[in-house]
Amino acid sequence: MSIYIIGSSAIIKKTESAQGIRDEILQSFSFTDEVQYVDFVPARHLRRMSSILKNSSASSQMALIDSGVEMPDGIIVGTGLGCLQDTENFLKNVWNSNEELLSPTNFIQSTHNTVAGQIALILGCTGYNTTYSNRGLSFEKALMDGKLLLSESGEKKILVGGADEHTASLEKALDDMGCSFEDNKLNEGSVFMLLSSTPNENSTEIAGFATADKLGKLERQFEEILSGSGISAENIDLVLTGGPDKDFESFHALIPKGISFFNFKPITGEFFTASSAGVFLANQILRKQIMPSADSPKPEKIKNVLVLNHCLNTDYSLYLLRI
Amino acid sequence: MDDLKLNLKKDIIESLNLVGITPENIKDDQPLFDSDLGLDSIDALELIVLLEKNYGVKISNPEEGKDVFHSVNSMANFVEEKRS
Amino acid sequence: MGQRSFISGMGIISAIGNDVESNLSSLISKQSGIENPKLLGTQHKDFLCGEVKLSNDQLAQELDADPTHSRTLLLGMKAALETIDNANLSKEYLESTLFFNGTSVGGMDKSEWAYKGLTDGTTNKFAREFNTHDCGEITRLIASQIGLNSNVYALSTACSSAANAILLAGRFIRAGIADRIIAGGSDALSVFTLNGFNSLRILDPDWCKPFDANRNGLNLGEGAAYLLIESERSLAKRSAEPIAELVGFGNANDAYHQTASSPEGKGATKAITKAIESLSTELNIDYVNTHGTGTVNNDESESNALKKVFGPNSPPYSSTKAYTGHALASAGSLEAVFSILSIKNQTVFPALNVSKPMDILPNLVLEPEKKKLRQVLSNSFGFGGNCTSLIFQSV
Repeated sequence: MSIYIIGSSAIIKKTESAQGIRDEILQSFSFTDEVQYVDFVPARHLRRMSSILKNSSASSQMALIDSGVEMPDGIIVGTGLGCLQDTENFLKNVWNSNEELLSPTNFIQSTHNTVAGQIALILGCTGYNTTYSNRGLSFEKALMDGKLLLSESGEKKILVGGADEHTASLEKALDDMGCSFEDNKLNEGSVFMLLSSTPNENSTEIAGFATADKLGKLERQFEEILSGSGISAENIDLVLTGGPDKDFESFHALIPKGISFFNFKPITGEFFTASSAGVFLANQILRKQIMPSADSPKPEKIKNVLVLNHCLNTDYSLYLLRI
Repeated sequence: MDDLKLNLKKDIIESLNLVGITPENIKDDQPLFDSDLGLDSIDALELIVLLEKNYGVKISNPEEGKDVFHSVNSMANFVEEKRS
Repeated sequence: MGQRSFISGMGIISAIGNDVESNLSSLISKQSGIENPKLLGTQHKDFLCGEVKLSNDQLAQELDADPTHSRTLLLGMKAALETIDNANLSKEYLESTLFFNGTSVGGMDKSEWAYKGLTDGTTNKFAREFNTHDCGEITRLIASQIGLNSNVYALSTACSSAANAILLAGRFIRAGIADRIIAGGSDALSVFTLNGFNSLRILDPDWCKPFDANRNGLNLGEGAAYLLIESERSLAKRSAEPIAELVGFGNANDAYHQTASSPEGKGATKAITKAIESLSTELNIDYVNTHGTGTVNNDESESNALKKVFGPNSPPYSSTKAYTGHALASAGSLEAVFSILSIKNQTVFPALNVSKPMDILPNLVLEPEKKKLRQVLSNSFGFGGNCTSLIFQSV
């Protein structure tokens, strides 16, 4: 069964490293220092919100506006670490005050499903609602559920998203764990897409997606997705990667020479659900028919875009998008 | 009493993160809930913590809070009462 | 119509017992596990909790595992291993059995102390604790310690997490995507959650009394429980016998408030209705294992929802949370096990500590009683408006 992205939006914090990217493509993203959050969230809720809640509340609505659909039938969110800032603030207060006189707001907003719950509250959406927290594959699990939901219910419109936030403690913790952010700087973002089983004039198709704990395992799944879509590797017009070339070396051997590879992490930065930003970028490239890099040759028509991502060299995902 | 009310207003603004509101914007007798300030039940819980933390007065259950938090006046009266 | 979902095994550890048999025995003998916490390192020892009676050292010893593991991980391993044993699931089937786990705290029971060290400057590094902080990693570790498939699903929807894991399993089986899934949840008590719920002022300072007219809040609990949910063709392949069937499930959102439920129980009504509509068989709900936390808000909301769905002759109902406490993410799977035990033993379990039942619904069960039970409805409602209902049927 095909699934189509009929509307999407991505809000990310601007990174300093986005270079060599065509402006029309870069401007597909919304940036945290430019979004007018009050347009999407009443001030009385906004004043309490951490960045993950602000970003996801806004980007979910922006995706709906993009699709022309007012109310989704379901909301599914993937988040690697959930509402981390509120969790940390509450914990800090717990220890500093010796477990006395604690402010409830941080706790209320600390559960992982606050993102999906807040979106439902703002929209008044009483449909299916759930949250996955699977580290670097959180968005993929949400997408899998969304795909299943579409197959069960036919004509429905499902809002699926990935969101994570950045805190100083997170940076330190990941550093302690030996994770390197030399190539992909830690960042935060929220990406939402409205999925449907029927296309519209603006939609792009997710022809297939797969996950694995090793890059090698993705290769077999790549072949299956290609054959399931009736195309071969030379029909791919662009490969978007969530990391530098060395992270995806074996795929360079699978993709015919001359097909451009473009690393999206300098734009999006790294967060556990950053693969959603790569999918968003593929979606925008296909809609606008503009290659991301000013240098890369443009095919006559950009039809098939492959997205490859990894998180901390262990959570690998692959997507084939097409129009 | 005036000092107490001013301090209460400052504390309310800070603890509830009422962006763009100053003490001058909050009238002493203005209903805090069901008004332009947009306070809700979560704010009520925050105000209970605020009173205990900053003023040493305890509200034993959230129901009692409904009358106490009606306005800055009622909050100030409650604090004065408990202190004496 | 799709493949049917059968339950062929289960496992549980809670405040009222370390395995299925001891939980059943406590339910029938009205033995609550709620008392002052002995193991949790909190200042608030006065708050009654449904603490599992084994320490981490004891759990680790039994499991031959590392005692410095997160308690959520240890509880999860214990219950998952019992599920496998209970189902006679032999080793050759483990790697192809999926694992769907609901957890809200993940490894917070460990990482909160590491954050303490960061806050008061006594620790500079907390890599290990942070590495198992998140829901995803705890879920992956339970699966890898037990030998289950590594493509795990970790769900985190607060108090409905485990129920949603079971619901997801039912959908996967129905769609033919998978044939064998261990689904449920695990949550350990933590200083974080105890203080969090206290800040919301919804903890009962005494023993909770769900559905009592004078109820005063909830007692927290902890635990883990799983069901092995299997397709007919997998059962046949293994020559295994089912103990119950998952015949209906529904998920909806209340969209009313971040933590409170709508007084009229809109989300709950919708979830229960969706579960009933999903039935591929006749509606025969004979008993409801409610979410029933004991808060003024939930019990009113849920009662109104049940009345809306079933009318004046609502089925007998009770909450088992006065036995176990509210075990948060794992509550839905603890209660799934209790629902199946009800069906297996054709017995309804009583609400405890009730002096004056609420007057919205009739038929609050106050004593354990043998009853013909065809289907049992199990509800789980969480923060963020998440509402999930499951319907189990006898086989």
